[in-house]
This record gives sequence, C-alpha cells and structure tokens, in this order.
Amino acid sequence: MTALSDRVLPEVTTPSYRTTLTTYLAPLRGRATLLLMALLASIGLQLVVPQLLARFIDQVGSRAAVNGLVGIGVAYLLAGIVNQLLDAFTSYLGTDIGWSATNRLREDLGRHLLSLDMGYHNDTTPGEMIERVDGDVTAVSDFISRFLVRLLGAGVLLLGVLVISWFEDQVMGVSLTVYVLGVLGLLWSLRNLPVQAAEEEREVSAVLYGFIEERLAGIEDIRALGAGRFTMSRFIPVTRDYYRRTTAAWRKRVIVWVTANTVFWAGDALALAVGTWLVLADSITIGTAYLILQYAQLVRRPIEQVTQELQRLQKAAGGLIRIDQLRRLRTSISVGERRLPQGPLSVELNEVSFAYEDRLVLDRVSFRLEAGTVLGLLGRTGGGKTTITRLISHLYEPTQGEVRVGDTDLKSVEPDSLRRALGVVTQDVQLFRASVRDNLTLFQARSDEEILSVLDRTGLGDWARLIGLDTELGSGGQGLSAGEQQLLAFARVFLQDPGVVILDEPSSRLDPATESVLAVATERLFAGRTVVIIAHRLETVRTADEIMVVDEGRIVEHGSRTELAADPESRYAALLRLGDPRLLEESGDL
Amino acid sequence: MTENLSTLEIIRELIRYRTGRFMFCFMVWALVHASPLLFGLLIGAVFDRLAGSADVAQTAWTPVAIFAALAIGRNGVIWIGDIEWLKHWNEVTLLVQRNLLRWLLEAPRSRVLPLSPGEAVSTFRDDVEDLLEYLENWVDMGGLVIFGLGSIVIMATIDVRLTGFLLVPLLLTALLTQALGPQIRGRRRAMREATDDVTGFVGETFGAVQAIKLFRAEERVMARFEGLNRIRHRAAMRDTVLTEVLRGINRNMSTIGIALVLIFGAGQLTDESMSLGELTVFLTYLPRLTDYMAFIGDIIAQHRRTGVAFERIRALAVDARDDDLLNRVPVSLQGEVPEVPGPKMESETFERLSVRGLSHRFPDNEEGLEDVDFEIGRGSFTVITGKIGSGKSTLVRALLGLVPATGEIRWNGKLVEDPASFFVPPRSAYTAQVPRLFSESLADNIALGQRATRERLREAVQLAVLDPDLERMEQGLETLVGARGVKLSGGQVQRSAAARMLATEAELLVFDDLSSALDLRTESELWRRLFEQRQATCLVVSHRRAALERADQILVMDRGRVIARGRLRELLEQSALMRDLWETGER
Repeated sequence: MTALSDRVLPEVTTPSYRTTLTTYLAPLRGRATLLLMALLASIGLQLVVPQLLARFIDQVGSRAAVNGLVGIGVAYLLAGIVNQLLDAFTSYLGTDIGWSATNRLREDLGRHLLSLDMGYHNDTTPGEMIERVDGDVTAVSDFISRFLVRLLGAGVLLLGVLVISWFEDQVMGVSLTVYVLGVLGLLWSLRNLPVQAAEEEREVSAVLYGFIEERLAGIEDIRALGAGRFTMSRFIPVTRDYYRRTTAAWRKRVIVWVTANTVFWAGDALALAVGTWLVLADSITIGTAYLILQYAQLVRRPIEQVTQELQRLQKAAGGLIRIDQLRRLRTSISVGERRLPQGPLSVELNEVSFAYEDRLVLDRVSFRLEAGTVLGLLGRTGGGKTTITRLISHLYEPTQGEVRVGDTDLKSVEPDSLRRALGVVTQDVQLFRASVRDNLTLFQARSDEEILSVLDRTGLGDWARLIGLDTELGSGGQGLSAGEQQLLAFARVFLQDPGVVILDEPSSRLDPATESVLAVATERLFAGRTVVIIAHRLETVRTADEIMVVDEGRIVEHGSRTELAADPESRYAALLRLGDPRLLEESGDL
Repeated sequence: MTENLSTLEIIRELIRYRTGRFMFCFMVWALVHASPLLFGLLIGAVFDRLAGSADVAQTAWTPVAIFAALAIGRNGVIWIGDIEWLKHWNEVTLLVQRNLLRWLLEAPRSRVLPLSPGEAVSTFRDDVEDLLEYLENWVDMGGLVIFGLGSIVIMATIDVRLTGFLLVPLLLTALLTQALGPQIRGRRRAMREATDDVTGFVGETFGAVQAIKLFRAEERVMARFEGLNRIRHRAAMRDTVLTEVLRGINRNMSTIGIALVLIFGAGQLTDESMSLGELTVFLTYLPRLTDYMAFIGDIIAQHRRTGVAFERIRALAVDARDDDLLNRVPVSLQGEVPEVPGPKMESETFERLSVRGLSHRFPDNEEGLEDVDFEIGRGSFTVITGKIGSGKSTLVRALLGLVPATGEIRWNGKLVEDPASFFVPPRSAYTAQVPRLFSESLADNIALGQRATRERLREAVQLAVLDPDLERMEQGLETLVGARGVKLSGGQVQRSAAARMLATEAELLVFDDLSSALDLRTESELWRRLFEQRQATCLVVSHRRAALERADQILVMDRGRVIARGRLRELLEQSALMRDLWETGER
C-alpha cells in the first residue's frame, strides 16, 4: 500500500500542552500536594542538620556539659531517621502519581490512535507506535517527576542554603552565592557535551551491532559460501571506527565530569579558606566554619541536578508536544445510525474516486454486485484491487462518490452493525501473543463448543483439540504455518457469520495438501454470502459468478465469468491461456 | 573438552591482554580512591589549628593550601586514568566480540544459532559489557581497599571502641543490601517483564489495527491494555519502593553513623581525649566508607552476574573452548586491513557425491531427516520435492553441514569429515530459501570476498537474470542495498543471491526453492541460461514443473524420508504423492 507522504500534523503551541498536563494531573491534586509538602519538609531537614553539627562543634569549643552534646547527637539521629521516612514516602508517592497519571494518558492515547484511519496506520510502524504510546508518555512521566521532584527540590534546596548563609555571615553569603552561580554557569555552558557524546555513542554502536546482527542473521549464507574470513576482514574497519569514535565521545564526557569534580573539590578548598579567614578575623565561630564546608558539599547534588534536569526537560517537552499533536488528529471516517440487516447483501460502488494526497488510486469506479454473488477481482499489484476492498469494508472513505452495502451508503451505517454484516480475510493474518481462543474471537467471550464447531468447518478442529484452545500463540503467529494462519483467519470470519465476505487470497506459496484443505474451507465460506475475492490463482475464481479486472484505478473488464471465458478477446480468457495470474502481477514487480 | 575457566580466571585472561596498561590504570585509580584519606587528615588539621591558640590558628593556612593543591592535582590524575581505562575497555570489548563472531562464522562443524540474531546481539553487547564491568571493579578495588583499611586504622588510633561500634551498623547495612539483592533483582525483572508485556502488546495491537477495526475489537483490546498497565503500575511500585528505601538507608546510614559519633564521642570530646580535628576526621570518613561498603556488595553481585554472562557467551558459541573466546591475538586498530586470500583451488574435479544414511533430529520433536541415501553425478540436475515440512530444506542443510547430522558423505569416493568446512566454494555454493544480503554495495554482496573480476560478476548477474533489474538501477552494481537488502524487492534479493552463488563458479550448486520470489518465467529463464552456459551440477529444492521436467533425478520426500526417486515420467506412474504434487503444482 502506498504510504502517505508527510502527514500534516496540527501545530501545537506551548499553552496547549499544558492543558494535557493539567488534564491528567488535576485528579491527582491531593496526592501531589502531599508530595510537595513531604518534599519541602525533607529539604528543611537537610538544611537544619548541618546547623546541628555546627552547634555541636561550637559547644565542644566552649566546654559545654556532656548532656547538651548528647542532646544534639540525639536530635541529629532523629533528623536522620525522619529524613529516611520522608525519602521513602516521597518516592512511593512520586511513583504512584507518575504511573496513575501516565497510564491514563497511555490508555486514552491508545484508544484515540486506534480510532484513526488506516491511512494513518499504513504510514506508521508498530515500533513507532510503541514509541508514541509508551516512549513519549514515559518521557512525560519523567517530565512530571523530574520537574516537580528533582528540579523544584534542587532549586529550593540551593535557595535555602544561600539564604541561610547570608543570615550567618555576609562574606559567607557572598562567597557561596558567587560559587553556586559560577558553577551553575560553567556546567550549563558544558551541558551539550554529554548529549553529543551520547548521540555519537548511540550512532556508532548502532553501526557495530547492526553489522553483527546482520551477519548473524545471514550466518548460513556466509558459512555455506565460505565467506567467514572475508566477513571478519569487513569487521575490522567497523571496529576501528567504533574504537575511534567512542574514545572521542568519551573524552567529551570526561571533560564535563572532571570539570565538575574539580570545581566541587575546589569548592571544598574554598570553603576551608573562607572559613579559616573568617575565624581568624573573629567574625564567625569554628562551628560556622564547618557549616560552610558542609554547605559547600550539600550544594553539589542540586547543582548537578539543575543542569541535567533542565536539559532533559526540553526532551520531555518534545514528547508532550508530540502527544498533543496526535490527540488533535481526527479520523475522516463518518458513521451513522442505520443498521444493516443480516444475510447476504448487495455491494455497490457509485462513481467512486479515491486519492492518497495527490495520487489518484481509483478513478470514477462504478459497479454493482447483487446479494449472494461471488466476484473475482484480478489485476496487477498497485492497480487498485486492495483499495476497492478497503472501501467496501469502510476502512477508507472515498474522496468522491459513494459506497453502498445493502443499498445503504456506508457513511450512514452504524459501525457495529457493519462489522457484523461484513467479514474480511486479509492476506497477512494479524495475530496476537495470546491464546488460540483470544486470537479467534479477538478477546470476545464465546463458548468452547461454538469455537470448536467453527474450527471443524475450517479443518482446524483436530489441531485445536490437540494443542488446546488456551495454548498461547507466539507473536506474529510463531509456530503456525502460513496455511494454518489462513485457516485461522477463516475461522474468525465464520465465528462472525457475516453476509458479505471479502477475501484477499494469500499469494505466498502453500503446499498442495494445505491448499486442498483451504479450498474446502473457502467453498464453505462462500456458500450463501456475497463475496469479493482478490485472487492470486485462477483455481480460486473458477467458481466465481463474475470477474472484474482492474488496472491503473479503472475497471478494464467486468462481466459474467462464463461469458468472459468464452470471449477469446477478453483479458480473462488471455489469463486462462497464460495459466497464472501472478504473471500479470509480477510484470509490475521488476 | 578442556575445563571451563572460573570467573576469576576469565578476568585474569582479560587482564593479560594488556597487562601493562591494566596495571597502570590500577595504580592511577588506587591513587584517586585512596586520596580522600589525606583529605580527611588535612581537614582535621585545619580545625585542630583553628581551635588552638592565636599563633597556632595562623598555621591553619598550610593544610588549606595543601588541600587545594591536592584537590586540583587529583583531577588531573583522574583525567589520565579515565582515558586510559576507556581504551582498555573498548579494546577488550572488541577482542571478545571479535573472537565470538569469528568462532560463529569460521569455526569448523555445524553451527546453529541457539538464539534469534536479535537475542544473540544482546549477548554480544550486554553480556560482554558485564565482563568489562567486572574488570572495571578490579581496577577500582585497590584504591577502595586502601581507603577502607586506612580509614578504619586511622579512626581506630583515634578511638578504638567508637570505631568498632560504628562498623556494626555499616556492616549491617551492607549485609542487608546483600540479602535483599535477589529480592531487588526479582522485582526489577518483574517490572521489566511487565514493561515488555505492555510494549509488546502495543506493538501487536498497532500491527493488527486492520483486524481490530474489521472485527470492532477496539474496546476489548483496550480493556486488555488497561489490565497490563495495572500490572505494570503495581510492579513499578514494588520495584521503586524497595530500591528507593534501600538507597535511602544507604544514604542515611552515614547520618546515623555521625549521630552515633556525636552521642558516644561527646564524653571524649569534653575530657579532651578526642580533639575537634579528630571529630572532623570521623565526619569526613564516614560517608565515604558507607559508599565503599555498598560498593563491595556491588562487586560480589557483579562477580555472580559475570559468571552468568560468560555462561551465556559460551552457550552462544556452542562448542568453543574458553581459550578460543579469550584468544589474545590483538584486535587490529591500525595499519592496512589484511587481504583475504581467495578460496583454495581444488586440484581434483568433481565426479560424484554419495550420501548414505543422512539423518538429523530437531531438538524439539519437529520432524527431522531419517536415513536418506542418494548419489549425484557430475553435470546432473537433481530436484528434491515434497510437501511443506517434509524435510526438503533440512536435507540440503544437513548435507552442507549447516545443521548437525549423522551419516556418511563421500566426495569422489573420499569420506567428508566435516561437511561444514568442506562444502564451500570452489566445491559447492548455496542459495537459501530466504537468502540474506548485507548492507553493502550489490557488487560486494555478489562477490562476497572472492576476488571476482568485473567480467565474472557480469556473467553471474546475467546468468541469474538480474541484468534487467541492474539496468533500472542508476548506480548499477554499486547500488547500496540497505540493511538486509531492504532496498531491493524480494525477487531481486533472491536473484542477487543466485548471482552471488554463481559468481563462485562452484562445482555443485545448491538452490533451496527459488519459487517464493521468482515468477515462473524468470525461473525458467534462469534454468535455461544456466544450462546453456555452464555445465554445473545442480541440487534443487522445488515443486515447480519447470524444474521437475528438467530433472535427471527427482527425490520425493515425505516426513523426513525419501519415499520415491527417479525421473518424472516413472514417478508419475509409481508415486501417488508425486502425481498429487504435479497436479496441484504451478505450471
């Protein structure tokens, strides 16, 4: 299927993503407030504890009684224990808030994305979707926890230290303020280095491990062609590049690390110097000199956090903006209230055109298929066959014209009734890593008897009884042959028992035995239903009532099968002579 | 088989790769980690002097100045140590990876990857990284031991009783962390599994959007998603809370320790058996000692993890000895990339291949291959046919040594000891059912290291009916095919693989089913060209009439056995299965 080029996403401005944030945080207001209070209390304690130590030292200096000293020691101990409890409490609360809010966001986003058009999904890979529904949302949860807990906490702690220093002594206040601002500025100026380093490392390891993965996947080709030594010689330049570039990237990291380390130790030296100077000038006590040293050490972590977190904040904001853009996308499929009856229904396309962006895929196509007839669709890949079936199953909406099922315009049909009335077997069968049962019913509750009787009709009954309905299938249908997967898809449709069936026959090779089982099941599926089938072998359409050949978005031939077969001029007759409709398809493949 | 090495012996081998540089790193880091001993004493000296008489107080500047000089100098040392260590880290990583890759690609005997390539890559990356992390622990160890013992001795000379008393909670925390280790890992694993379930389900959901829409299963799918999310939320709580509480205990342990010093040292401080400076020595050492204690716990855990990691590396390399994996031939980081010698020319021309009793059992009860005999003469065309799962691919893969098999294979009457290393160009070449290309140019993919001339490449391309495709490619043979050949269509990948095989000019050509990506016309054309231009011997898996009609010999397979053999005409008379296959087969 042709992909949409450059989907246009709605523009999102900063204030609008704040709405997303507040929507999901508002219900957690109570817990968030509690978290904030616990956080402030913990910061308060961190500021007070060094004071206790300073007082202790001063009392030792002034030859105070042992009792007083022990009292301070006990207070210190209590502060330590309370801080421990606060720590545990904030991490519990923070985690809980983060997961509550973001799981809701994940679910809403997932639901919303599922409602979008196939046009959107054809253009995205499942990997991308994981990134959107989980990756970006996790980034947002980081945003919440980092912004609230770390950045805010670090800021308040820094501010607290500075304010207290100014109260203690002006010189101490000036030196600590200058020091903190200077270090912040210095580290902020280096903030891009680790990011660059990380990007480079990611890039080179992608190359190295890409090489290894690719060669391991081709291990048989390499071994059977005796190309092991050659491959190893190709590995050399890859490893050299890896070595050179990771070393360079690492240098960047080390610059930042060593700089930070140097300024922090220099900070200790500075604190000792200022303390010594002020004590000698008699403007502070020895205890306060020790306080300066402690505060100089206390500011290390928040300084690092502020520079790192500000950096990460931008990334999280990126995720938030993307989420908001996605939330504004709307499906273009319209739905109505009219319910379709059960039983075979007519299918009709009336002057239908369909375009992806600028490319016209179907050009004013019209045909009518009476209830209970079987139509075989033939034509080259990319000619428009699949688009026609997707329009009938209302995965797409025509750019122009109307698609009618049971003489009702699909735009006015109630979606549940459409899904009951119309069943589709696609070429690639989409399976979940879930039980056989769930894969058949797509997570609907159905009785075992019902499921097994349907499986019997598709020839999978024995297989299912052997392995059991609760056996989990591997993801992507691991452990199932292509034929079995196809039969499973048939069973899904049998369970649904629709009046209209669309079948995209598998073009991949099946062995003759499986094919004959499939043929029996196909015959049963067709009985008493309206059928549109995209056929890849002529055998399949030998029982069709009508044949339609589609090319370059137009119907080039449509008529009763017997008549077309009898007309030597018809394309269908020519195909019969060639013997394989794939010849027709693959001439477009080269 | 030699004995497996112990974890410590593995580390010893890795150190020996560049003993000199490792020792240098070891010394540098010993200096860095042990230096806080001095810093503590200097801080003590500053405060003792400040507390003294006015004259003494003036001398406090000396330790302040030494402190500043040492602090700056220490960071210079860190800079050197860090860069040198990274070089060692990278080289040893590449060494182990190279040895492992080489073993998998070049070593004799059959080699089936026990894991998917993706999983195998995580062994290359993560398990090797575990080895290196443990090696790094050994670099740090010296300094940590010096600091640990040194600080305890210094504190003990100040006050033995108090020191002994302090060590108790420190040891208890370390033991607690150790004891909770499995618990933490279990919860971490549960969390990771819950996350995998969520992301896996999201991936599957959006891979199956069409089915979900067609069956209107949106709400049911979302309900399942919500269930998985709840499980993950719970797992995250259990994981975070335990880790955070433990981290908190570790962090706050030094506070508790300091509180103990204050409470139980108060007496000594008032009767002046302990000075103010000595108090600050305790205060400086305690937090660091707590950190180091936790680190010792980490090292023990890492030791165990490393053992497991190397076990996984061994499992991936199947029958390699540890010596092969730890082989210390230096990784090539400079100079010319050595030329690869072309395949040795076989002096003897191929006459006859005989196979007796070839059998293969799949480990998990899948149908294997049982007791297959056949002969192939020079210039003949042999087709293997049968239903899906009847063992056709297994037969050719067992013959070529791609999967382990038992039985007797003779090439011109001589017994083949190791099919895996024997069946390579110029004797034989092979195109897999799903051939793999590599992200290089088409020319490199086809030549695959044979020093093939332009002429030979052209000929191979023409034989494989790849020439019409090439004409459409702007860069011709220099076209980059992308990862695993994604830039080419399925048919083009298959034809390129056929060209790759034909470029080897091997005597025996083995094709495992070209029909999945070649249409009938192209396949017939390929056979026609091959017969007109080469007198190659072919062994082909196929169920197409174009191949069956050409065959000098057809082997009909069913459930791992050859149930009929002969020419098409005879088989159509004798074998019901052959008639079935012929009737339903594509013309």
